[in-house]
Amino acid sequence: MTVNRCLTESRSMTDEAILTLANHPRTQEEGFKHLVLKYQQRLYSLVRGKVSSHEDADDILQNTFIKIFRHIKGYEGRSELFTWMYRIACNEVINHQKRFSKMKTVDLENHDILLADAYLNTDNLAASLETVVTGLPERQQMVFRMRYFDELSYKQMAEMLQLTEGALKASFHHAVRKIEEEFRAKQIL
Amino acid sequence: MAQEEDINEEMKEIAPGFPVKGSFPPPAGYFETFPDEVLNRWKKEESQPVVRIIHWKRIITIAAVLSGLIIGGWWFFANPTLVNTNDITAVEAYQYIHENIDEFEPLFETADIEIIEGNLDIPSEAVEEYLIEETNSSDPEDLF
Repeated sequence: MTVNRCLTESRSMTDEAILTLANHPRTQEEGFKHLVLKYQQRLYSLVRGKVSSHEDADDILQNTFIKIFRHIKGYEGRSELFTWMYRIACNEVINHQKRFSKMKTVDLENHDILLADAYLNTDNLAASLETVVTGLPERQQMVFRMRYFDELSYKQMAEMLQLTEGALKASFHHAVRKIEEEFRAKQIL
Repeated sequence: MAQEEDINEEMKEIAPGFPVKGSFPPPAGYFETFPDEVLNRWKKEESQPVVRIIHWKRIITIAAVLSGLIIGGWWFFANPTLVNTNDITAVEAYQYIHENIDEFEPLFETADIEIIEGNLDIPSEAVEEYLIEETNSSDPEDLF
Protein backbone atom coordinates (compact mmCIF):
# COMPACT_ATOMS: atom_id res chain seq x y z
CA MET A 1 0.00 0.00 0.00
CA THR A 2 1.49 3.38 -0.97
CA VAL A 3 1.80 6.12 1.61
CA ASN A 4 -0.61 8.41 -0.21
CA ARG A 5 -3.26 5.72 -0.53
CA CYS A 6 -2.86 4.85 3.11
CA LEU A 7 -3.07 8.53 4.07
CA THR A 8 -6.27 9.02 2.10
CA GLU A 9 -7.75 5.94 3.69
CA SER A 10 -6.79 7.08 7.20
CA ARG A 11 -8.21 10.55 6.69
CA SER A 12 -11.53 9.15 5.55
CA MET A 13 -11.74 6.77 8.50
CA THR A 14 -13.92 7.77 11.42
CA ASP A 15 -12.41 8.06 14.89
CA GLU A 16 -14.68 5.22 16.02
CA ALA A 17 -13.30 2.90 13.35
CA ILE A 18 -9.71 3.79 14.28
CA LEU A 19 -10.45 3.28 17.98
CA THR A 20 -12.03 -0.11 17.31
CA LEU A 21 -8.85 -1.22 15.53
CA ALA A 22 -6.55 0.32 18.16
CA ASN A 23 -8.36 -1.33 21.05
CA HIS A 24 -8.13 -4.85 19.66
CA PRO A 25 -4.77 -6.61 20.24
CA ARG A 26 -4.73 -8.14 16.75
CA THR A 27 -5.42 -4.88 14.91
CA GLN A 28 -3.82 -2.52 17.40
CA GLU A 29 -0.79 -1.66 15.28
CA GLU A 30 -2.93 -0.98 12.22
CA GLY A 31 -5.18 1.24 14.32
CA PHE A 32 -2.21 3.20 15.67
CA LYS A 33 -0.88 3.69 12.16
CA HIS A 34 -4.20 5.10 10.96
CA LEU A 35 -4.31 7.35 14.01
CA VAL A 36 -0.85 8.74 13.27
CA LEU A 37 -1.58 9.17 9.56
CA LYS A 38 -4.84 10.97 10.25
CA TYR A 39 -3.59 13.37 12.92
CA GLN A 40 0.19 13.74 12.52
CA GLN A 41 0.04 16.90 10.39
CA ARG A 42 -2.43 18.69 12.59
CA LEU A 43 -0.61 17.81 15.79
CA TYR A 44 2.75 18.64 14.22
CA SER A 45 1.48 22.07 13.21
CA LEU A 46 0.13 22.64 16.73
CA VAL A 47 3.36 21.54 18.42
CA ARG A 48 5.65 23.24 15.92
CA GLY A 49 3.90 26.53 16.63
CA LYS A 50 4.93 26.29 20.27
CA VAL A 51 8.58 25.33 19.93
CA SER A 52 11.44 26.91 18.08
CA SER A 53 12.79 24.01 16.03
CA HIS A 54 11.65 21.05 13.97
CA GLU A 55 13.80 18.70 16.10
CA ASP A 56 11.97 19.75 19.27
CA ALA A 57 8.62 19.38 17.51
CA ASP A 58 9.56 15.90 16.29
CA ASP A 59 10.64 14.82 19.76
CA ILE A 60 7.43 16.15 21.34
CA LEU A 61 5.25 14.62 18.63
CA GLN A 62 6.81 11.19 19.11
CA ASN A 63 6.31 11.41 22.89
CA THR A 64 2.74 12.55 22.34
CA PHE A 65 1.87 9.57 20.13
CA ILE A 66 3.61 7.10 22.47
CA LYS A 67 1.47 8.45 25.32
CA ILE A 68 -1.64 8.27 23.16
CA PHE A 69 -0.90 4.60 22.34
CA ARG A 70 -0.32 3.74 25.99
CA HIS A 71 -3.46 5.43 27.24
CA ILE A 72 -5.87 4.91 24.38
CA LYS A 73 -7.76 2.26 26.34
CA GLY A 74 -8.49 4.89 28.96
CA TYR A 75 -10.08 7.23 26.41
CA GLU A 76 -13.74 7.24 27.33
CA GLY A 77 -15.10 9.24 24.40
CA ARG A 78 -16.41 12.06 26.57
CA SER A 79 -14.76 14.57 24.28
CA GLU A 80 -13.66 14.42 20.65
CA LEU A 81 -10.62 12.22 20.06
CA PHE A 82 -8.64 15.20 18.77
CA THR A 83 -9.50 17.26 21.87
CA TRP A 84 -8.12 14.44 24.04
CA MET A 85 -4.97 14.20 21.92
CA TYR A 86 -4.61 18.00 21.92
CA ARG A 87 -4.47 17.94 25.74
CA ILE A 88 -1.77 15.26 25.70
CA ALA A 89 0.22 17.24 23.13
CA CYS A 90 -0.10 20.44 25.19
CA ASN A 91 1.14 18.61 28.28
CA GLU A 92 4.11 17.31 26.33
CA VAL A 93 4.89 20.84 25.15
CA ILE A 94 4.73 22.08 28.74
CA ASN A 95 7.05 19.26 29.89
CA HIS A 96 9.44 20.13 27.10
CA GLN A 97 9.37 23.82 28.00
CA LYS A 98 10.11 22.95 31.64
CA ARG A 99 13.16 20.94 30.61
CA PHE A 100 14.10 23.67 28.16
CA SER A 101 13.84 26.41 30.79
CA LYS A 102 15.89 24.33 33.24
CA MET A 103 18.63 23.94 30.69
CA LYS A 104 18.73 27.43 29.29
CA THR A 105 16.68 29.48 31.79
CA VAL A 106 14.78 31.14 28.98
CA ASP A 107 11.77 32.99 30.32
CA LEU A 108 8.41 32.13 28.82
CA GLU A 109 7.61 35.67 27.74
CA ASN A 110 10.59 35.79 25.40
CA HIS A 111 9.80 32.29 24.26
CA ASP A 112 6.26 33.36 23.29
CA ILE A 113 7.63 36.16 21.15
CA LEU A 114 9.89 33.62 19.52
CA LEU A 115 6.83 31.47 18.76
CA ALA A 116 4.77 34.29 17.33
CA ASP A 117 7.83 35.19 15.31
CA ALA A 118 7.84 31.73 13.81
CA TYR A 119 4.16 32.05 12.92
CA LEU A 120 4.27 35.44 11.26
CA ASN A 121 7.73 35.49 9.73
CA THR A 122 8.28 39.14 10.58
CA ASP A 123 10.06 40.04 13.79
CA ASN A 124 8.24 43.29 14.53
CA LEU A 125 4.81 42.03 13.58
CA ALA A 126 5.24 38.90 15.69
CA ALA A 127 6.47 40.83 18.69
CA SER A 128 3.65 43.37 18.34
CA LEU A 129 1.03 40.64 18.04
CA GLU A 130 2.31 38.88 21.15
CA THR A 131 2.35 42.16 23.10
CA VAL A 132 -1.21 43.03 22.06
CA VAL A 133 -2.51 39.51 22.74
CA THR A 134 -0.91 39.52 26.20
CA GLY A 135 -2.79 42.76 26.94
CA LEU A 136 -6.22 41.26 26.13
CA PRO A 137 -8.64 40.19 28.87
CA GLU A 138 -7.86 36.64 30.06
CA ARG A 139 -10.72 34.86 28.29
CA GLN A 140 -10.20 36.67 24.97
CA GLN A 141 -6.49 35.94 25.17
CA MET A 142 -7.07 32.23 25.75
CA VAL A 143 -9.73 31.98 23.02
CA PHE A 144 -7.54 33.87 20.55
CA ARG A 145 -4.53 31.62 21.22
CA MET A 146 -6.57 28.42 20.93
CA ARG A 147 -8.30 29.52 17.73
CA TYR A 148 -5.57 31.47 15.94
CA PHE A 149 -2.39 29.66 16.96
CA ASP A 150 -3.70 26.17 17.81
CA GLU A 151 -6.44 26.21 15.15
CA LEU A 152 -9.00 24.46 17.30
CA SER A 153 -12.58 24.50 16.07
CA TYR A 154 -15.23 26.30 18.13
CA LYS A 155 -16.79 22.94 18.93
CA GLN A 156 -13.54 21.60 20.36
CA MET A 157 -12.96 24.78 22.33
CA ALA A 158 -16.52 24.67 23.66
CA GLU A 159 -15.91 21.13 24.93
CA MET A 160 -12.71 22.11 26.67
CA LEU A 161 -13.77 25.42 28.14
CA GLN A 162 -17.40 24.50 28.88
CA LEU A 163 -18.65 27.55 26.99
CA THR A 164 -21.06 27.90 24.09
CA GLU A 165 -19.73 28.13 20.55
CA GLY A 166 -21.55 31.48 20.15
CA ALA A 167 -19.82 32.94 23.20
CA LEU A 168 -16.45 31.72 21.95
CA LYS A 169 -17.01 33.20 18.48
CA ALA A 170 -17.96 36.52 20.06
CA SER A 171 -14.84 36.46 22.26
CA PHE A 172 -12.62 35.64 19.31
CA HIS A 173 -14.12 38.37 17.11
CA HIS A 174 -13.77 40.94 19.92
CA ALA A 175 -10.14 39.91 20.36
CA VAL A 176 -9.43 40.24 16.63
CA ARG A 177 -11.07 43.67 16.52
CA LYS A 178 -9.04 44.87 19.50
CA ILE A 179 -5.83 43.61 17.95
CA GLU A 180 -6.71 45.32 14.66
CA GLU A 181 -7.42 48.60 16.48
CA GLU A 182 -4.12 48.38 18.33
CA PHE A 183 -2.27 47.63 15.12
CA ARG A 184 -3.90 50.56 13.34
CA ALA A 185 -3.07 52.88 16.22
CA LYS A 186 0.54 51.76 15.99
CA GLN A 187 0.36 51.93 12.17
CA ILE A 188 1.32 48.28 11.88
CA LEU A 189 -1.55 47.33 9.58
CA MET B 1 -10.16 20.53 7.45
CA ALA B 2 -13.68 21.92 7.03
CA GLN B 3 -13.86 25.49 5.81
CA GLU B 4 -15.52 26.76 8.96
CA GLU B 5 -12.62 25.27 10.93
CA ASP B 6 -9.93 26.89 8.78
CA ILE B 7 -8.60 29.85 10.67
CA ASN B 8 -7.23 31.63 7.62
CA GLU B 9 -10.65 31.46 5.92
CA GLU B 10 -12.32 32.87 8.99
CA MET B 11 -9.74 35.64 9.30
CA LYS B 12 -10.31 36.64 5.67
CA GLU B 13 -13.99 37.08 6.47
CA ILE B 14 -13.79 38.93 9.75
CA ALA B 15 -10.52 40.81 9.40
CA PRO B 16 -9.25 40.91 5.81
CA GLY B 17 -6.23 43.02 6.70
CA PHE B 18 -5.06 40.74 9.49
CA PRO B 19 -1.66 39.13 8.93
CA VAL B 20 -2.06 35.69 7.38
CA LYS B 21 -0.66 32.93 9.51
CA GLY B 22 2.41 31.23 8.26
CA SER B 23 2.86 27.51 8.39
CA PHE B 24 5.76 25.33 9.43
CA PRO B 25 6.51 22.87 6.70
CA PRO B 26 8.62 20.04 8.10
CA PRO B 27 11.56 18.61 6.13
CA ALA B 28 10.53 16.87 2.91
CA GLY B 29 9.26 13.34 3.43
CA TYR B 30 8.87 13.77 7.20
CA PHE B 31 5.23 12.71 7.33
CA GLU B 32 5.96 9.68 5.19
CA THR B 33 8.52 8.24 7.58
CA PHE B 34 7.10 9.50 10.86
CA PRO B 35 4.36 6.83 11.34
CA ASP B 36 6.85 3.96 11.03
CA GLU B 37 9.38 5.73 13.25
CA VAL B 38 6.92 6.28 16.06
CA LEU B 39 5.47 2.76 15.75
CA ASN B 40 8.94 1.22 15.85
CA ARG B 41 9.82 3.25 18.91
CA TRP B 42 6.59 2.21 20.61
CA LYS B 43 7.20 -1.51 19.81
CA LYS B 44 10.75 -1.26 21.10
CA GLU B 45 9.67 0.41 24.33
CA GLU B 46 6.83 -2.06 24.85
CA SER B 47 9.12 -5.06 24.39
CA GLN B 48 11.65 -3.85 26.95
CA PRO B 49 11.18 -5.06 30.52
CA VAL B 50 9.89 -2.44 32.89
CA VAL B 51 12.78 -1.02 34.85
CA ARG B 52 11.85 0.45 38.12
CA ILE B 53 13.45 3.82 38.56
CA ILE B 54 15.28 4.12 41.84
CA HIS B 55 14.27 7.26 43.65
CA TRP B 56 17.31 8.17 45.70
CA LYS B 57 15.46 10.79 47.69
CA ARG B 58 12.95 8.19 48.85
CA ILE B 59 15.69 5.74 49.80
CA ILE B 60 17.55 8.41 51.79
CA THR B 61 14.34 9.38 53.62
CA ILE B 62 13.56 5.77 54.54
CA ALA B 63 17.17 5.23 55.70
CA ALA B 64 17.01 8.37 57.85
CA VAL B 65 13.73 7.31 59.48
CA LEU B 66 15.02 3.78 60.17
CA SER B 67 18.29 5.12 61.62
CA GLY B 68 16.32 7.47 63.86
CA LEU B 69 14.13 4.62 65.10
CA ILE B 70 17.12 2.33 65.77
CA ILE B 71 19.14 5.02 67.59
CA GLY B 72 16.08 6.20 69.52
CA GLY B 73 15.19 2.64 70.52
CA TRP B 74 18.72 1.83 71.57
CA TRP B 75 18.94 5.03 73.63
CA PHE B 76 15.56 4.38 75.25
CA PHE B 77 16.35 0.82 76.33
CA ALA B 78 20.03 1.29 77.14
CA ASN B 79 19.87 4.49 79.17
CA PRO B 80 20.26 3.50 82.88
CA THR B 81 18.78 6.77 84.20
CA LEU B 82 15.36 5.86 82.89
CA VAL B 83 13.19 4.38 85.62
CA ASN B 84 10.33 2.05 85.09
CA THR B 85 7.40 3.64 86.92
CA ASN B 86 6.02 0.21 87.83
CA ASP B 87 8.97 -0.29 90.22
CA ILE B 88 8.10 2.72 92.45
CA THR B 89 6.38 1.85 95.69
CA ALA B 90 3.67 4.01 97.25
CA VAL B 91 6.06 4.95 100.08
CA GLU B 92 8.74 6.10 97.64
CA ALA B 93 6.16 8.16 95.77
CA TYR B 94 4.92 9.76 98.98
CA GLN B 95 8.49 10.57 100.02
CA TYR B 96 9.24 12.08 96.65
CA ILE B 97 6.15 14.30 96.75
CA HIS B 98 6.85 15.33 100.33
CA GLU B 99 10.47 16.29 99.53
CA ASN B 100 9.51 18.15 96.35
CA ILE B 101 6.23 19.63 97.47
CA ASP B 102 7.13 23.02 95.95
CA GLU B 103 6.92 21.51 92.49
CA PHE B 104 3.36 20.35 93.15
CA GLU B 105 2.09 23.67 94.49
CA PRO B 106 0.65 24.88 91.22
CA LEU B 107 -1.63 21.83 91.28
CA PHE B 108 -3.23 22.98 94.52
CA GLU B 109 -4.62 26.36 93.61
CA THR B 110 -6.44 27.86 96.61
CA ALA B 111 -9.11 29.23 94.31
CA ASP B 112 -9.88 25.69 93.15
CA ILE B 113 -10.06 24.44 96.73
CA GLU B 114 -12.51 27.22 97.63
CA ILE B 115 -14.70 26.28 94.68
CA ILE B 116 -14.65 22.60 95.74
CA GLU B 117 -15.48 23.54 99.31
CA GLY B 118 -18.34 25.72 98.14
CA ASN B 119 -19.79 22.84 96.17
CA LEU B 120 -19.55 20.34 99.04
CA ASP B 121 -22.84 19.41 100.60
CA ILE B 122 -21.85 17.53 103.76
CA PRO B 123 -24.27 17.47 106.69
CA SER B 124 -22.84 18.94 109.91
CA GLU B 125 -23.54 15.61 111.76
CA ALA B 126 -21.19 13.83 109.37
CA VAL B 127 -18.50 16.43 109.99
CA GLU B 128 -18.93 16.01 113.76
CA GLU B 129 -18.68 12.21 113.48
CA TYR B 130 -15.51 12.57 111.45
CA LEU B 131 -13.94 14.93 113.98
CA ILE B 132 -14.88 12.59 116.89
CA GLU B 133 -13.21 9.70 115.13
CA GLU B 134 -10.12 11.76 114.36
CA THR B 135 -9.83 13.03 117.95
CA ASN B 136 -10.27 9.61 119.56
CA SER B 137 -13.92 10.02 120.57
CA SER B 138 -13.41 13.25 122.52
CA ASP B 139 -16.02 15.96 122.30
CA PRO B 140 -15.26 18.15 119.26
CA GLU B 141 -16.35 21.23 121.23
CA ASP B 142 -13.26 20.69 123.41
CA LEU B 143 -11.03 21.26 120.44
CA PHE B 144 -12.06 24.91 120.04
